[in-house]
Amino acid sequence: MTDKVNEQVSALLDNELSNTEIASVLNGLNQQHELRQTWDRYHLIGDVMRGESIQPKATEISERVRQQIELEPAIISMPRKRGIGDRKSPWVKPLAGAALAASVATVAVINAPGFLGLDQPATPLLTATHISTAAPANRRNFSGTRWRNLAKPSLQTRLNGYLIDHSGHVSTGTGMGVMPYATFVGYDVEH
Amino acid sequence: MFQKSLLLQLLIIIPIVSSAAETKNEAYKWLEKMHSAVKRLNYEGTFVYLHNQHMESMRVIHTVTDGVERERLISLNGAQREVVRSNGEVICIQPDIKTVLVGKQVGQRGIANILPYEPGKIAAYYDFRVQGEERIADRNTKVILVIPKDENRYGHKLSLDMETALPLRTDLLDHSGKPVSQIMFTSMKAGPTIRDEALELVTKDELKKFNWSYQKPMQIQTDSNKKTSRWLFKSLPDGFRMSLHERRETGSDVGAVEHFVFTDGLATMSVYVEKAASEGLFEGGSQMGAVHAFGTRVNGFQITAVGEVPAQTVKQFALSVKGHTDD
Repeated sequence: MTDKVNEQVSALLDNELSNTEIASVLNGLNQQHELRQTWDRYHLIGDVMRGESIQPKATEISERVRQQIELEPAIISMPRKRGIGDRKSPWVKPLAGAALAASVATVAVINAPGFLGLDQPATPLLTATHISTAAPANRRNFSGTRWRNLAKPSLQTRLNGYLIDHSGHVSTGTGMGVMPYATFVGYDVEH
Repeated sequence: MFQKSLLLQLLIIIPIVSSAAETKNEAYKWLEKMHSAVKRLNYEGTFVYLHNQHMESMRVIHTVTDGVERERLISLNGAQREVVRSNGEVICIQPDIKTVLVGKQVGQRGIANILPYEPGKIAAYYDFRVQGEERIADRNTKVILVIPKDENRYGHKLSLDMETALPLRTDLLDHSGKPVSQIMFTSMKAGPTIRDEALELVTKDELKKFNWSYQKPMQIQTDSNKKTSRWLFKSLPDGFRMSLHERRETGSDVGAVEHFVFTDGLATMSVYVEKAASEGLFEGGSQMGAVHAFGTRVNGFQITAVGEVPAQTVKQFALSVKGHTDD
């Protein structure tokens, strides 16, 4: 896709286009699958950064969930066995991905330990045993976030938005303005 | 006999008290020096960040050009991440998902002006002490302890460079003194020759092709319209007061996000309130690094508390939120 189209989609989202331009982009949106994905993705990122809740449109739920899984594959998981040759995705197996998609579509809650009830205490820190039994992280795709007890990618993303926003307000012991962002920049090997 | 022993005790106590005051004052001086050094100096260093048995390596580059600060934080292992803070803007670059997020810092004034670091004001909740010297990154440092007086906040152990007062090692400690996270520089260079050009993660051309998204700036709520908030905070953890209340119109049917910032002068907490969506409800606790989060729901609104404070503190914040009409 061309940069120009990308920019137009972005501009459309920010209400910066004239009427004729809007018509042209919307027309393109209807015709091009790829462009529609871009539109969805922009919307999603925009929602997150603005701290808005993510409300999947009925038409694009599965597509959005699939993108979400690609964008935010870090699902907090209990230790599970993995085959030696299974290097493709240590986070979400295809079946788990499908289950996740279904759960979002039906607004069901998937199994998230310590995250179901108010009075239920947070799951204690993962133990050393868990870390030592975790399979080596995927070497190719180091992405994702690391919120504990959160199974829903949309929640992870939203908390990330909050974290970045909050970091802008933090005074730390170090006095280094950028240090609060270390949590965001950092990467956990557990996935 | 009794008087004699009392006198003896006094003789012993007085020197201890005065030396405690001295070390407190010395600690203040070092912290103030550090606070100005991290903003004023040009420096570049590589550090290791340790938390929950995870270890990460990052590089920080800080420059001041014509009075304008620019700071970059770059991950050296794992996912490529970069945060650039300059001129009231925060840019988060995530090459793995080709995304750039741009946020504005409050009022473009930088956080230092909103939450001035004043050791004197936080003495009610923290003790200060100088604890000898230590060698870090082949440099001599002065070790300063900031000890929390209760379990609502974390403490700090800072090793400050003798020459520049830059923090070469920072341990975040829980109430019992156990480290929650540790940052230690393995190399640090300071001086006007430091330039901000090392280690670009991606070329400018590549960057242009990423998905850019811009966060709408929050609207700071002044005293007059603060009353319009429908939220009250009951039984907050000791020593925390609201330092900022802002509101962001989302432009969607979800309505506005309200953001409350609380501080005890050192630790900072955020509480976000927004209309709860049926999907994406966050209830209970979560954690990333030394940051805890707690979510709950009040009157159909999602409450999320986030901060580098102990788990029970974020929980207490989240559960303290009440609607104005509630009792």
